Amino acid sequence: MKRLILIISILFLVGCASNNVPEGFEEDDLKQKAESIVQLLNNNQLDEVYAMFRSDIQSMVTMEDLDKIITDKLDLIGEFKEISQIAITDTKDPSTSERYAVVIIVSEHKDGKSTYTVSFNKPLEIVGFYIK
Amino acid sequence: MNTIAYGFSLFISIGLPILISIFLIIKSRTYFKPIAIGVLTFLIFQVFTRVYVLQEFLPTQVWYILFTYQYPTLYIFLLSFTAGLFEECGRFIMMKLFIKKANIKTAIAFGIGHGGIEAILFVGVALIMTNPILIDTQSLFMSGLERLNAMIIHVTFSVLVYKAVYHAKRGNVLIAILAHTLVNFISVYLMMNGVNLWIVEGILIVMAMIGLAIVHLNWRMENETFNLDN
Repeated sequence: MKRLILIISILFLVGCASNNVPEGFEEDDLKQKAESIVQLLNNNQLDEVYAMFRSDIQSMVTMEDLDKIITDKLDLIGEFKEISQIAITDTKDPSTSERYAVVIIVSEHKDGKSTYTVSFNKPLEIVGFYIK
Repeated sequence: MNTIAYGFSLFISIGLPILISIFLIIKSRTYFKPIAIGVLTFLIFQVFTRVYVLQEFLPTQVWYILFTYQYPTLYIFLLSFTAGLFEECGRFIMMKLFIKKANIKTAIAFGIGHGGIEAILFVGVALIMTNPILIDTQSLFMSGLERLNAMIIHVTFSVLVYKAVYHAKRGNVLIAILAHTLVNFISVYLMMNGVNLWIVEGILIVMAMIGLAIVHLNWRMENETFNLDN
């Protein structure tokens, strides 16, 4: 019985995981920005995406790093087809407590898909970037 | 200083488990099997199953990514609990299936194999592939210290599960799962909340010391029983 309650609770909480646009951010702006980033990456305009990284993030990740990550991934999954899903949530920088918006974008490709998790600060600079 | 810290962590995460394993096997070839089964347990019940799902499948799922951001504490708890569940049940199954006769020394050897391969794969390999100049001395030193504590804790859990398999103390598996969950949860939760890493390390040292006391107590109990039997 206890196990059943635990399983139901977990399923309930997983079901509750939904869009949550943080205060001070506009959902449309975030979606537009995220979609444009995916388009730029697929058009090999990496320098334009790199320019959106906040300066401290640029000091941690080089243009060559970004190029290698994206090229390796796109070589694996092939030609870009469409964006199939976008979700938004919020997070907090543990050291500064600054609120960020996190946009998760799933894009479909000829031989697979990629999931991007991009975090933005209020001026919509990229403060976190993860691709799977 | 950086080189010393790097050498220390590299020794703890790669040299120590290998040296202890070689020492035990030279002492008695009977230790080879529990060490190897310990290694296999970690590979089967962590690397090829749980870690694979956590690193390859779940990060592509939108609901999962949302969940990690929206329920961080529950997420850490579930990560900790599944680590305990997989590894402790794994120990129980593998001991039951592949080690017919055992004593506490066998359980310790099993724990060295299990904790040793974890240290080699998760820290040792990462250290080899990283330029030590890019990491600060404190982090380098801490990674070695953390692995030393983790290996002691793995030996403790192996002894607890050994008692469950060979001494009919089935409740020990549950205790091992809960203790494993607790150790992982406390350390990750504190780190995620910005608690000073030395405090986290201090808590881990205390847990490892409790683990050593449990191993020592079981060792004494087993030897006393052995003496009485004779």
